[in-house]
Amino acid sequence: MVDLLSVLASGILVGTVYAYMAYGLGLIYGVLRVVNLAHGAFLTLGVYVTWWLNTTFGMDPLVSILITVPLGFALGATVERTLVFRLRDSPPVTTLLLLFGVWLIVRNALYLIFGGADRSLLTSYSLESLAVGPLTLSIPRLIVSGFSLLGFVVLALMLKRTWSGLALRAVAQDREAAALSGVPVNRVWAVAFGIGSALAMSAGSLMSLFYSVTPEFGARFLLKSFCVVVLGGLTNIGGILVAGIGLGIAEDLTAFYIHTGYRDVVSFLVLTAALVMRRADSD
Amino acid sequence: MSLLEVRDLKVRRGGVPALRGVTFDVDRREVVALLGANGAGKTTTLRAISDLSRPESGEIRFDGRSIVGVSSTRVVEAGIAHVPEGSRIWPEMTVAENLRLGAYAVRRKGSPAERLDAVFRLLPRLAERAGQLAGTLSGGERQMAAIGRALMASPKLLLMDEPSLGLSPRVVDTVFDTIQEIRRDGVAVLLVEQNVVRALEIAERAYVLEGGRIVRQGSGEELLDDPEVRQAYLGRTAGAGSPGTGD
Repeated sequence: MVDLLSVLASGILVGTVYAYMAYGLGLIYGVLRVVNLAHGAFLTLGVYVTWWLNTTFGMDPLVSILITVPLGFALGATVERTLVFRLRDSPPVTTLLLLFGVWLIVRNALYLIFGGADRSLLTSYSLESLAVGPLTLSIPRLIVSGFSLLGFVVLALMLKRTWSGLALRAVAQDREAAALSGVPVNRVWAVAFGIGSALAMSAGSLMSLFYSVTPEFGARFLLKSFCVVVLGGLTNIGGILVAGIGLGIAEDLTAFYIHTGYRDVVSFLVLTAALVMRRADSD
Repeated sequence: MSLLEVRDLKVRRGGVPALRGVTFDVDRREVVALLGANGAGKTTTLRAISDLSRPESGEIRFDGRSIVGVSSTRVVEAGIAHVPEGSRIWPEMTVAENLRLGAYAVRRKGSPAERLDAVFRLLPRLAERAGQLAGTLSGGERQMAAIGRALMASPKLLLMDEPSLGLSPRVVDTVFDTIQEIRRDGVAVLLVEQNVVRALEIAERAYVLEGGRIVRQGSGEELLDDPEVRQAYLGRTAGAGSPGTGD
């Protein structure tokens, strides 16, 4: 029973980070109808920038969020303005391939600069844990989960209360009607890409606390992001949170009761099942 | 000088000429109807004014300044709001959010709260529905929300594309009453309508489009009495008074 509870608790904590990591992908798809394969690049850049700031200046990964958020926004908005925007009228697969190219460039640049070795980042609290009744919870996971939830609250308020937030939602729901109401659709596209990338890069900062730093980081977590976004309903903020937590729990249950080696298979299975069920829905 | 001057406007859609040289005016505080069969170019005309279609040639002047090639955002800022066909409200936003965002172009001018009050006074039903998701509204309420959203931009000219399409007769009455109140508030209206009789009854002037050209123009009354207009769009001959088939 205690085993099950701690597996559930740890699954929930990881799941909130999964949701945070994935949301940008859904946001960009919702607003631009573009599948952002460069999401993997931004996740990987996030962990590397955080790791580099930590080893070079001793900066805490949580503090580095102050850098990865604006940096991610600037890079994302630039990619949209300089690359994605030019392919506005091309078939979706062109943009998909272009963004895949961006990811490959970033990944290989990281191999070139830092080599292929797995690295890890240690802080004073990396191995600390907290006893809650019979459960033992990892401090970094608690912190990271708290930051993810905070990120979701800020995002939800932004979407609900600010002009930019309303404009983002309007463009996602009916682009032409948004233009007719004076919303500058081109600028909203860049802002959406910027926010999505800022989320991915800062997710990298958070995740550097308990995942190893490698150029393949993005490959592993891009797939999980897809899984969460497809399950959660693309732009639905609550749905994505639930889907992230669901995936976190499913993975931890699998790792504990079946085998750790099967952890990463879960997202494949869930993604396949979700797509098959969607298919059945639309038939 | 008229509020809106359209001169020899030519637009292609998908390579095919949709407007072949359209010229008309809308004066301040005037309701002007744009009539014609499906495919005559009514919607294309409105889309060209709002920069959703780029004209091939011709001129569109608003308040004395050319607005050809001016982005949709700037067109709204200049004072032209557009109620598109089928209302096109944002279904997953509340009615209040739909209205608030309608003021996007003028968000730094005046008080959006005052404008919202004015819209609620004109369309009280929207105040009752303010917190509801717009997707849950009835067809008539959606149309009202779309009109309210456009008015939030404090326009001098309102473009309306088939505002009564698909609505029940009682709701159609409300829509036409609302158009008259909008004019009373000093806003000019360029109205595209399939309900020719109702449109001509409230319009000061009207233009009839056919195959991308203006083929007739005159006051609302003149066109109502015009035998050819009656024949073509009302499906009955002047004086006969018998109801025809279709409209």
